[in-house]
Amino acid sequence: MSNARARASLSRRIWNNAKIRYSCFLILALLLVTVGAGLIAPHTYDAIDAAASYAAPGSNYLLGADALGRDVLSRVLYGGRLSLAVGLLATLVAVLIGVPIGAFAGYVGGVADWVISRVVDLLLPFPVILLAIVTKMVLGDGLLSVVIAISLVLTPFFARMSRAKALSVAQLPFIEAAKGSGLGSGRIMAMHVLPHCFQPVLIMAALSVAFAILAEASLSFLGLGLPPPAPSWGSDLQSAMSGFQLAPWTVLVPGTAITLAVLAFNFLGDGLRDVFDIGERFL
Amino acid sequence: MRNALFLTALSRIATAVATLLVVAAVVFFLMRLIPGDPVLNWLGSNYDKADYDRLKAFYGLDLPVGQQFFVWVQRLFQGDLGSSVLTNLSVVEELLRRIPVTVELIVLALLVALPVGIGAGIWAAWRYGRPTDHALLTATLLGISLPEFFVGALLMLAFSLEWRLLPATGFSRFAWSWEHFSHLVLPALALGLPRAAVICRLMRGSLLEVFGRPFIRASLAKGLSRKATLFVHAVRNALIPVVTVIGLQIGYLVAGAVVVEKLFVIPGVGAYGLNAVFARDYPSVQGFILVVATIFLVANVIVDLLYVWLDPRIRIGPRTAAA
Repeated sequence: MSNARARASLSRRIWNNAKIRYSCFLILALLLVTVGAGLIAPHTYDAIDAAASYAAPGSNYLLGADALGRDVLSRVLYGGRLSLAVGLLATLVAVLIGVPIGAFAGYVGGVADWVISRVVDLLLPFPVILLAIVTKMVLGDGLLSVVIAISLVLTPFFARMSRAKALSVAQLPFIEAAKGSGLGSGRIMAMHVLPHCFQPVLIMAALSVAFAILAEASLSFLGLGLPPPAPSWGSDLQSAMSGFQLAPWTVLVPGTAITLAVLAFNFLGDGLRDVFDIGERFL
Repeated sequence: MRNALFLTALSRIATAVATLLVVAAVVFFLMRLIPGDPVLNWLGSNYDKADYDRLKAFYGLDLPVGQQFFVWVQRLFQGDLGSSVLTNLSVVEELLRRIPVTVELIVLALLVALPVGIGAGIWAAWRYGRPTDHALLTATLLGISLPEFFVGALLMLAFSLEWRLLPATGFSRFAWSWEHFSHLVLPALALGLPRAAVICRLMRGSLLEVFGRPFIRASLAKGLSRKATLFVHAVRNALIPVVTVIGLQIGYLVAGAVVVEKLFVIPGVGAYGLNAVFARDYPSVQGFILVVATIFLVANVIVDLLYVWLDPRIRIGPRTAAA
């Protein structure tokens, strides 16, 4: 009874948090316009129109056109698919791999913990660009290598966090009780240890999506993303730099799109952190 | 105390060298895993069998992989990273010419990020819950969400294209002159400002935590003013967790430097590495990754030592571990 009430009040607190509410609306809106780009976009992302090179924002090209006369709005809408897909996928992979590994290390301890902790320490602060360069050279072009590179950077963060959580949970009396009632380690981990990781994982996941979108944009900016003419916010911004003075909108539009998407997920993480009341330093 | 600092330094450097070797080995073997024959890649479709064999032997690619690695490490200790496949120039010479550029950029970015971030963090904590605090928090959230290259592009639009105060792109050789530094103002800001936002949030959180501790109350009780308590007691203690995180931030700075170098056309290590990657110039890529990892690890060792200096309680581990 009291448990149910606690849960109800938590979901109310989540909904009452303005940061969470607004960021959820924004994320939903971003998902709708990018997934529905085929319906909304006034042009296709690769329709070249030489006569419209650097056309200013106006009736035919709502947010202007780029050097090749391609519609900036349409490219931003289609490019968002890539950014959001990479952000969500990379985070999902990192959660699915990092959390169980970390919880295992923290709960079981011993040699496994030592080995896992060393690997995590080694990977933790590594610059994403380096990992991306190496994975890209090994795996070649494509969505997969971008996702793998970014999730490689994110995974150790999830592992470290769930390890710390598992370490503290493992000493609580109810774990002792679960052992005493004959549950195996696997079941204890799945039923009693992992659920305790849920709140911090949720916060970190929101922040990770923001990080992954930023990382994908940086990689495409460097030319390490998908090859052209695939639309991507980062690579569009990079190719627009040469005509920056002539047509600032070609740079400002994708840049604003990146900032908006990253901001939405950062806001969500921030709001969740307020609601779950977990200190800034823990993450 | 001095002894502890020395021991810490020794252990950190040993760890860093070990990490470097692991990174070098991983990169070396991963590059050998890449499908396709690199020599064919360099020669194109039209070549002699003799040329092929000569090139393969020249780069030592005809040896077994284990032996290749052994030769590479041996040469590494002699200060030889081979020569670029594209230009035939020595990788070491090229990198040595570019390292100071990248290091200078990172140092300048830190000179932006640290004072701005720490200062803003202190200000926000001082004004906790008031409009200033909220405004700073919102600004930092925006700062965290802006990619370095977009910050750079916006700065370029304002300071170079609109007001014509600073050069947009390019670089001039190091000298204590405005000509040199004017080219680095915008890149350092683009690289430093997003980091300042992160540092500001950490500094604020850390200070707020310190404010709740008993020694702050004691300091106020003995009659020290609020401002004096803040700067004499609170800030120094609040800096300790911030310094640890700066170690992590350096990873972002190194990665960001590659991006900023590309945006502002600065001939640093990043630009070199990117070109090497696109050309599949393996000796250069290996050299590049080794150098970036070194910059990164050296910076982290410095941060670790700073940490010990700030908080003398910290040692490499509990004393009992040695017994």
